Parts: sequence; structure tokens; C-alpha cells
Amino acid sequence: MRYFTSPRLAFCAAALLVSIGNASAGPPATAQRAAAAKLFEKQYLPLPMKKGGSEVALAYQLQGPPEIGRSLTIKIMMLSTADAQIVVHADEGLQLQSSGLVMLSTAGVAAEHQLAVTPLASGRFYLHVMSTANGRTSASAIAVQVGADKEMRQAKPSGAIHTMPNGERIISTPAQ
Amino acid sequence: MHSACRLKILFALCTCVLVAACGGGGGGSGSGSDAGFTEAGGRSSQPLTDNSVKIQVAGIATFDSISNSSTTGGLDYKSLLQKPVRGASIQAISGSTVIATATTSEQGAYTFDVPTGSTFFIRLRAELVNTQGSATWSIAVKDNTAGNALWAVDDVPQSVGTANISRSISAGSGWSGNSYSGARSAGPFAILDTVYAGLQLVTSAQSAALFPPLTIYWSPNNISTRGSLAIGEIGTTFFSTAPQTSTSANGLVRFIYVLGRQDNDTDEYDSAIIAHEFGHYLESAFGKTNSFGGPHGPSDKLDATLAFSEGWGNAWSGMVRDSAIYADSSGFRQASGKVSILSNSPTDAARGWYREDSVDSTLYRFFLAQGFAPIWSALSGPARTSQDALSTIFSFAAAVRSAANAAAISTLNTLLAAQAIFSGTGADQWGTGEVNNGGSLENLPLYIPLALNVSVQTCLSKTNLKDAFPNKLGSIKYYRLPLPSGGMRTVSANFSGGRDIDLEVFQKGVTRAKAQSTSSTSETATVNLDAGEAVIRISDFNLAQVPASTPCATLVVN
Repeated sequence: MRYFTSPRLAFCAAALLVSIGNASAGPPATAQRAAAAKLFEKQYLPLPMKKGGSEVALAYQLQGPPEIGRSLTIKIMMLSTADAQIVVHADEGLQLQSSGLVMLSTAGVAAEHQLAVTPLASGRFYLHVMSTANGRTSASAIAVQVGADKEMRQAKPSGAIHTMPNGERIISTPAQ
Repeated sequence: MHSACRLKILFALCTCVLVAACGGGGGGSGSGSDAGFTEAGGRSSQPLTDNSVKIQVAGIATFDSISNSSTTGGLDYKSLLQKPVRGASIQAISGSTVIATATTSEQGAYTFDVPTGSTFFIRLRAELVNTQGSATWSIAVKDNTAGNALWAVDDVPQSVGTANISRSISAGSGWSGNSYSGARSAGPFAILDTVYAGLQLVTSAQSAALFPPLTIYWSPNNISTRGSLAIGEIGTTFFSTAPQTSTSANGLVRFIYVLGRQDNDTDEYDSAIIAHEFGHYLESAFGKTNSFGGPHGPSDKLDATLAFSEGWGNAWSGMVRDSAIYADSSGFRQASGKVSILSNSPTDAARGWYREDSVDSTLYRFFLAQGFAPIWSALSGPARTSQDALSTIFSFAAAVRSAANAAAISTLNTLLAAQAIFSGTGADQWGTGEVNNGGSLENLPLYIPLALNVSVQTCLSKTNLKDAFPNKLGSIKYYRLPLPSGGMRTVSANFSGGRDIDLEVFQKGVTRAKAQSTSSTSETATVNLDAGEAVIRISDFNLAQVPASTPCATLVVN
């Protein structure tokens, strides 16, 4: 959905994306920019926004290192030109304080929420964040790394990996 | 559109033909029940391998196809039906040796010969390869989280005797009713099915099209957060390019990453999304694209190059699927999402050349009225690729006007006018005559006139920014520079009030020089330019964080 012409642009999207509302809805653009500037100051990390989706801008901040058995607070900032809601679910390996947590924001106003999650194991897990506005839903995810990098969960293989005599790698799945 | 009934009939017919060709080997009835393997009474035969004598193996390759709900955009698992795998490579493999290869037909059918008495398994490869015809292509689906291994579906090993056999193979969805609990074998073939339709549509207009290689990376691990591609943190589904790594190769490596994580966002069955990204590939491979890239929404006021590229991707998606419904699933059980209708042209006052929905509805309606040929001719032909201007709706329209018939030109001009895009006398690749400024006088002309040795100051606008990306209308400036003679030129830009100025120099839409050092308020590029015209693009990488409302750039070329 996004067409990155350069690695620099891709980095920009990853590192800096914090949305400010459309001046045609909600408070004046200057107020929204002030909200965006606040996000920058607080070093929130942006979540990807898919084209043509809910267009709810989301950013988050972990309030400390994730540790097994210890409650971790995550702040989430949301901003949309329409009334919006997000619903949060967690991977196995993360225990949300309440499953299917719902958070709301009103049009044009940056809303800050927080949730508590407790890691249950080492590895890399995700909080799945579904945002809905204008009748459209988009998905994004917050990665929670529990433990050192070397313990990062390897992506679960989806098939058997074979290397052919010519060196070609094949990921093989069974016929139905 | 295929229906389950049609496919079942097709399957039954083919099976009958195959049985008739089995030479009395008995009872072939499709996947998992193989004529000629088992003697009466179920006792396995003990065939002797004879490489000089072959038997024919024939079958149908299918995959589980799932459609989007036309109301929510979510996946409708009740719609599941088996579709033929078209144009894919299929092999017979004995041990680790490939003993036969074939390509599936439009109906998913394949045949190949194997030695009598051999033991082998059938492998359906997630790739479309055609090196023989007048048109050629090589497109593969690989798993970026498994060392970029090629996706494949393997049947169980089988031993054959001396009679021809039928043996079909099917890639399942892995859907159990509540989740994907089985292997998601069908995903790569669902992606390829959309791509295959694209190959067919292009070759209907250009029979000898030479498609450069494309790799599509899909994995059930691909999730909508940004991090390491190797563990699936791809952010979103996207097309991109990279320079060739081989020193002997020219051009670009082209690739698409596709989301696949269930209960988050999966796109392998979202044919509109796959087609959109393939549209970007086509634009890159056959036409020219100068898209600035970055986040965008249908009603955003965008940079003109981005608006055209995304509008083209959307419109192409409708053309190749023959559907105005653009659906994208996401969420728990893939049951949510969104739907837009490509044929619904925007009617609000803010429509125009800078909106992707203005562009996509114009192109899609043009397709409905005039077919694909004039669109492809304009997109990929010399009328456009030789233009000095960058790729925008203006350059596309100019190419149509120079290459299409009067009826097509009239249709396009009417559609453009309905979107408040100038199409009257004097309309050209540069946007000459355009009066729709998108709400600010500073947005026109699209290309600011520039002369050698004369400095020009222009200000960048933050008015339309919605995020940190400086890719909206007014936040990027273009300059048009006539060059009476070729030679080395120095392009210098300085910022007043800006933070990180970037410049790029083009000739005929091809980048000739870039100057994009980090956090610099001045940039200089020295470049050898041909006589003719050059285009210079100025932007501020950190525009969103610039305190001043209008940082201004001074540009001079010596």
C-alpha cells in the first residue's frame, strides 16, 4: 500500500510517523500540530497506517523493560479526524489486564490511554491493535520483546525447509 | 468469476478424460486415489524403473480461494471454493532429483512423463515462469521469514507401474472454522492467481511484453509493525525496488512484501491489495514512476507524483479484477476491514490532480469506457516514457492525447474535467493551463520556471501535512529548467527556515542526481545533463518538524 522510493523514506515512516488531524474537522490545525509536537517530545513510536483504512494515527510508548511476571504499562496515543475506537488483543505469552480492551477518542482530539500487560515467557510477542473510524477497521501491532535479543522468538516456520541440489531453498507444505 | 459448480464440472470432465487415457490402469479419481498404483485387492505393485519407457502423469492443480465480503471487506470463509492454479511450475521429484517439469494450464491442468516403475512426488511451485513465448516473465512467492525459501506444495510420494495415471494436487487454506490451524498452502497461489490475471491483461495489449523478474515475499508471520523483515515485521503490504546486487546486472530488483499474520492483517486473499501492488510493479517495469512515496489516503491532498502512482495502482486493481469493489480484510478472524468503490468519483470541491481518488476513478472509468489498450499504450509507450515531465496525471493525459483515437481522447478529457483537472486547449504534460490550485495560490504552476544562472526562491507549505511525511500538496516543489546545451551543471539549493533540504534532478523522468545529506540546510549536486529540459524536485525531509510555517528554498543552476 505504500510505495517507498528510498530506504530513507521507509525509515522516515518507521521513525517519525505521528499523525495530526485534518484541519477540516475538529480543533484548529495549530492545536493538532501542538498535539503532534507533544508526541514527538514524548518519543512515542508510531504504528503503521494502512492506506484507505481507519486513518486513526496511533503511537505508543513502553514504560519500562518487559520482564516475565512483571506488569508493564504501555501508553497509547490515538488521533483521528472522526470519533474512533481501538480494540487490543494479545498474543499468547502476554497477559492483558483485560482482554479485548477498548479505548476511545473523539474527533480531532489526541487521546492518551494506557494498558497493563504481563509477559508470561521470554520471546517476541505482539499486541494486536484494531482501530476503527468511519466504519473502517485497520490493524497494527506493538512488538514486546521479553528477554535479550538472542532469545528473540524465531518466526515460526510455516512448512518444512528443504535445500535442493542446486542450492534452491524450498518451503514445503503438504498437499490437501 | 469462477463458481464452485463450474470448477467441479471442470474437474469431473478432466478426470474422465484422464481415466480414459489411463490404459485400463483402473479407478483414477483425483487427488489421493491414483489409477495404476494398486493392484486389485489393494496390494501394492512392485514396479521396476525403466528410464527408457515413460508413462504420462496428468492432473489438475487447485487452490482454496476465499473472497472478501463486499460490505465489510472481511474474508468470507463461506465463499471458499477451489480454483485452478494457472501458469505455475509443477515438478515430479524422485528423491531430490527433478525428473519431470510442466506448467499448469489456464484450467490448472498439467501433464508430464515419468519413467515406468519410478517413485516420485509432485511439487507445485509458487512461481509463474514463462521463458518460451513472445512474452516472458519470472515471478516467485517466497517466505521472507524462512531464508527467502520458495513456497511449494508437496504431494506424498507414489510409485507407478506401466500405465498412465491421473494425480491431482490441491493447496488448502488451512482454515479450520475458527482459525488457520493447518498449513496455509493456498496463500502463495492466491497471490499468484491475481498476478496471473495481470499478466494476461497486459499481454492482451502487448503480446511481446518482457516482464522483469518480481519476487513476492509472503509469510504467515508478516505482521503490521515495523522491524526486521526477516522475522516478518514488514509494517504493511508494499512494493519497492532496490539496485541490482550483481555487478553484471543493470536495472532494479523489484519486490512486494505481503502481510499474512492471522487475527491481525492478512492480504494474500485481498486480491485488490495484491493487484494494487502489482500495478506499482508494472508502472516501475514498463512505464516510469517518480512517486515520492509515503503514507497517503484517498482524500488527502498529495504530491502530484504520489497521487498518480497510487491512483494508478487502485485503478489497475479494478481493471485486472474487473471489479469496482476495493476490499481489504483485517482483524480478528479476518472478519473486519474496509471497502471502497472505485467507480465512485469524488464530487467535493477539493477534488483534483493532487488526489488519488480523483486519479483512480478517472482511470477506472476510462477503462470501462475505452478498454485497456489506450491506457496501456499511454502508460508504457514512448509517448509517455520520452516525456520530460515527471509521472503525473498530466503526463498520462498528454500521452493519451498523443497516442489514442479521438473518441478515447474525448472520453478522457470529459472525465478529467469532472475531477476539476484541466483538459482544455493547451493542456500538456506539465499541467499548463491548470487553475485548480488545491486551496493555495502557491501550488501552481506545478513546475516553476527556472533559467540557468538565475536564482529562484520558493516556499514549501505544511498546510496539507497529516503526518511526518513531507509528501503532500505544496510540501514539494518542482522546477522546469530548459537547457540549450549539454554539459556539467551545478545545482545548489539553500534553505531559510527549513531543516533538511533534499534535491533530485531528473531528465525524462530518470533520476540523474540526488543530494540528500542528513540535516543539512543546503545541498549541491554536480551533474552532466543533456540538452533539452531538466526537472528539479525540492523537499524538506523534516518539514513536519520545521517551526516556520513556510520554509523557503533558494535554487540556482549554474
